[in-house]
Order: sequence, then C-alpha cells, then structure tokens
Amino acid sequence: MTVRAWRWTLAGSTLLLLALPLAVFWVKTAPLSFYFGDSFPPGQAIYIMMRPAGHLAYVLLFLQIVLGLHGKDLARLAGVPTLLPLHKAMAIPTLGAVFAHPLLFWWAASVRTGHNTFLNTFWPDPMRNYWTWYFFFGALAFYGVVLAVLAALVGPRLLPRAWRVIHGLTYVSFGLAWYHSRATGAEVRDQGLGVLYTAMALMAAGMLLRRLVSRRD
Amino acid sequence: MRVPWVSALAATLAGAVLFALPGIREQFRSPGQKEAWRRDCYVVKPEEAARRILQGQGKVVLLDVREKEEYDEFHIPGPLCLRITLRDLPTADLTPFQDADLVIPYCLKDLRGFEGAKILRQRGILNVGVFEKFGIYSWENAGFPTAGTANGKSDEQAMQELREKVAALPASSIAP
Repeated sequence: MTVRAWRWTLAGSTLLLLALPLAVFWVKTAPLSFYFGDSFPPGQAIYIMMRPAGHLAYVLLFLQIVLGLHGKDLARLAGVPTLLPLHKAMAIPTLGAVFAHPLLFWWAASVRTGHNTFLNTFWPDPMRNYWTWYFFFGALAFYGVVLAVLAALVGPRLLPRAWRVIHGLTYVSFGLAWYHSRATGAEVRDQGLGVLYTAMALMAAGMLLRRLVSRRD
Repeated sequence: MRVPWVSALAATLAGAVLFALPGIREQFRSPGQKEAWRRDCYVVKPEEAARRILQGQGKVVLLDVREKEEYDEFHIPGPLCLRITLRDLPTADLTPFQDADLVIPYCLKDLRGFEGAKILRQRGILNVGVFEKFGIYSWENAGFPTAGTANGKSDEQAMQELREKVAALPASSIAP
C-alpha cells in the first residue's frame, strides 16, 4: 500500500470509529429534533446529550491509546516524522469529552430531581445499588484519565521517572470505562455496539501487552 | 511538526457548545414551555396509580424499563407491573398495553422512563404517563414498598404492605 492509501485508510478508520456509535445513538434516539421542542420533562435533553459525550470519550480514549502505543508505526505508514503532536493535541478534545459526560449527567439528574446530585455522580456509593456500582467505576475511570493527563502535562518536570507510570492510568481507565459502559450505556448494552466496544477494549489490552513484552525483551 | 493546540482547543469549545446547547435552551424555556410536555404525557401521583391498580379503576400498567439486575434488586410489586428493558421496547410485543387506560413506564428517576414513554407514543400507545417527581424513587418517597433482593421482600409481602398503605391513605392525598 502506498503512503497515500495508508493515510486515507487511517483517516477513514478513525472517522468510522467516531461515527459508528454516534450513528447508533442517532437511530435509537430519533428524532433528535424532539429535544429542541418542549415535549419533555426537565433534564431530558441534557440526559440525551450526555450519551453521545460518553461515546466520544470512549472512542477518543481508544484513539489516544492507539496513538500512544503505536504512534511511531502509524507515523511511518502515513509518511510523517511523528504523530506525537497529534497525540498531544487530541488530549484536549478527549479530556473535554471525558469531562462532558459526567458533567452533563450531573446537570440532568440535578435538574430532574431538584437537588444537587454532585456526590452521586462524582463519588457514588458503589454498594447502594446496581446502578451506583457501575457509576463508581465510571467515576474511577474519570479520575484516572484526569490524573493521566495531569501527569503528561506537569509530570516530566515534577516526576521525571514516575510520570509515565501515572500516564499509564489511561489504560486502567479505559478498562474501567468499558466495564462502566457495558452496564450503563444505553446503546452499548445492544449487541452490535457492545461487541465493538469489547473488541476495542481487547485490542487496547493486546497492544499494551505487546508493548510490555517487547520492553522486557 | 507543531502541536495544533489552537485547532484542538477550537474543536473542543465548539463541541462543548454543541453538547450544552439543548440543556442551555431547556433552562431558558418560559414557565409555559416547561410545562408543555404534560399535554402529551400524564403526570400521575404514585398514590393515585397504586389506588387505581388496587381498586381496579381501569387498567393501569406499570412498566419497568430498567435492566433485569436492577429489577431483581428492587421493583414495584404487583400483577400489573411488567418489565421490558428500554432497549427491547422498540420491538417488544405491546399487546398487554393495547387495552390499557394508562401505561406508566418508570426507571429510577425517569430519564430512561420518559424515553420509554416516548417510544410507546411513537408505537401508538398514547395513554402514557410518568410518576410525579419521577421514577421508582417517587414511589419510595411516597412511602410505598418495593420487592426484591435489596430488602428481601417478596412480591406478595410487598403487595400486602401496599394494600395496607393505600387503605390508610387520607382521601386528600389521592385526589387526582
């Protein structure tokens, strides 16, 4: 394959990966124009937007993992010297989506119930019920990503040796996000998207394992 | 190759605005607009729903749209409480609802429950409603029992308790 063909393939796969969950969300929630009308109770439109934010967070996190672990290989295929700048720049929308997902849920649940649901969203009691158990792992994933990004931002200066380990929390967070999404994701509970998300999680685990083994060698 | 910080920041901000837009619009609705949804969806007090079910005043069906694990944990007891998950609702057999006078889909706080009501309406079941103050939490807040593994109550035990609670309700609390 030529460099040009590789570029198209990589760009196309990325767009497809981003579009697929959003398309499933679109179909399941149609018509979306409903949420720009008035025929819904308080918080419903915010809740609806929380769902694609979760999908974006998951897919962007996966792309960041791929770029982090195979950035050099992909750069070679695409005929560019490095993809590290892309990995760094993509941290902003990834973090944005990771923040948007719980913030929108907090907003929706607070508007719906009439009381502040901050603690239930950002530090849920895992033993309370089925739902809060899976929420708890979502919250852990959120904090893991925040720590991983912070480590990349300030870590190289403050913790020159340990920052990479903390940055590696991304992988743990991705696993936790998968666990969270399998039970709570309205679209992910469906067979098709569930399989895709599990495949992404397995791919990420495989890539990480390969990296760890190659380092040991 | 430079890091395209500005493009990344601009894309993120644009995304944030896009995602927040429906919510911001929702917050700035007039009081009339905020209540407009009640035209298409009945809002029912848990006391009223319980009384109608127990006294056989029309066919009122409660529909739990949560996952099986959530249902097993705690649910509204009774023979007219069905369970169809939200994801199954678009293709589920709606025969039990065809002759219902009122169908109340519910979840925890009706974020999913209302989606269930929307799907039912799209599928031709127009007599749909939600609990006032929303979801199974409003049922519990009304002092009504639930059955399931969380409290160890069977459906029969919870039904018996529900009958006693409804019988003890003052008439004013169940006025429509």
